[in-house]
Amino acid sequence: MRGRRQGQAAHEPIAAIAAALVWRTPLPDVAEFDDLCNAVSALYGRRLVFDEIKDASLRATTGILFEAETFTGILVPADDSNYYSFLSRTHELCHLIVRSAPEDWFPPGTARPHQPAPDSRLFLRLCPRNSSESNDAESVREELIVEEMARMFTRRLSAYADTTEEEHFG
Amino acid sequence: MSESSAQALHGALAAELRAAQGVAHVNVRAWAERSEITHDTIYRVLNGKRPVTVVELVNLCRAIGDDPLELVARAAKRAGLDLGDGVDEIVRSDRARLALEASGLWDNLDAAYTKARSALSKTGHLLSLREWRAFVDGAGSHSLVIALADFLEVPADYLLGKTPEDEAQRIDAQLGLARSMRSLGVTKIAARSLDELEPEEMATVESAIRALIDKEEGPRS
Repeated sequence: MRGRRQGQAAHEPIAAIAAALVWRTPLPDVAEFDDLCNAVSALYGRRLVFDEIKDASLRATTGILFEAETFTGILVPADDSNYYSFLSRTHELCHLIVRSAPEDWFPPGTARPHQPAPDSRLFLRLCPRNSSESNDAESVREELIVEEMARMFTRRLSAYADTTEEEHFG
Repeated sequence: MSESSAQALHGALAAELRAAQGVAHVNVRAWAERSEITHDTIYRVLNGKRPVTVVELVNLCRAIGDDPLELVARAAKRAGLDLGDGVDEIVRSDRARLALEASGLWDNLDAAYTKARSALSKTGHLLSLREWRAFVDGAGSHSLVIALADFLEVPADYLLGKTPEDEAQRIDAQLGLARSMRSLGVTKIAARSLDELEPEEMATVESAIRALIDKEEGPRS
């Protein structure tokens, strides 16, 4: 019982941070995915470019986020279902929100996940943030927040607002 | 590898190539045609006037049905070298270079030395220029490689040539991708994935990023 309460306590700030960031992202009342893209682009200050990876050899990758000189690129596998692709693209956008949201978007008593040093050599390594190579607490915390945010955005954006995850994942 | 050992190995390679030529009963002009290497170059290699490159060696051996690795082994034996150490140094040198390239430090090794010296001094290690050159040549001491592995954010066992082959291939792919991304002007990359990415998958990702950058910013020279 005590362990369960501790688990809940550890989870609550994640959900609170995710909810705060999702609802403070400026979107129209009836919002589409493009509205979210525009809001994130304005917040992050960079042009966003999406593309699909059509190579069938992708087995583990569900999304790639990279910073090129003149744009921020987001790649998702072409073979994924529309819903999963939507979730993956939204997940990557949520990373950009976490990185660039004003401090006062975070609920009192919580903080933005610590970002790696700007000159870290690991920025150019493809070590998945949720992999065993990236097991530092802050990366894992950001991943949890972002995953929660992506799910919440499916409720806030009209495309899948009236559906449930179970309908898509079974 | 010392300079005298290197010279001895070059001489031994030339001698083994001459021996292989004799066994294959091939004249230099025919060998040049088959290997697509000019006969002038082959003459100079056989006479020890010019060191043979790895690519030339492979092509010369293939043209006469010899195994380049076996020829290198025979040459090393002829030169009195312990091949195990030599191969180890080559592997370690290649990995040091890749780690430096992935970090954007290879193009200016003097500046890289200054940065490495500064970083290592914080842990009490005074890096000499001689030690630095030994590291780049694949002959750095165990403790030095461990210190520089931390600086380069690469597993020390990889730089020491001690990781299992599949793990080494994965790190090779990681560092190769970082080198490629750097050349494309990419400053950050992150993946959301269900598992570790295998080298083939990293190559697919690299290709997709390159294609998108070409499309958005134009191809790079």
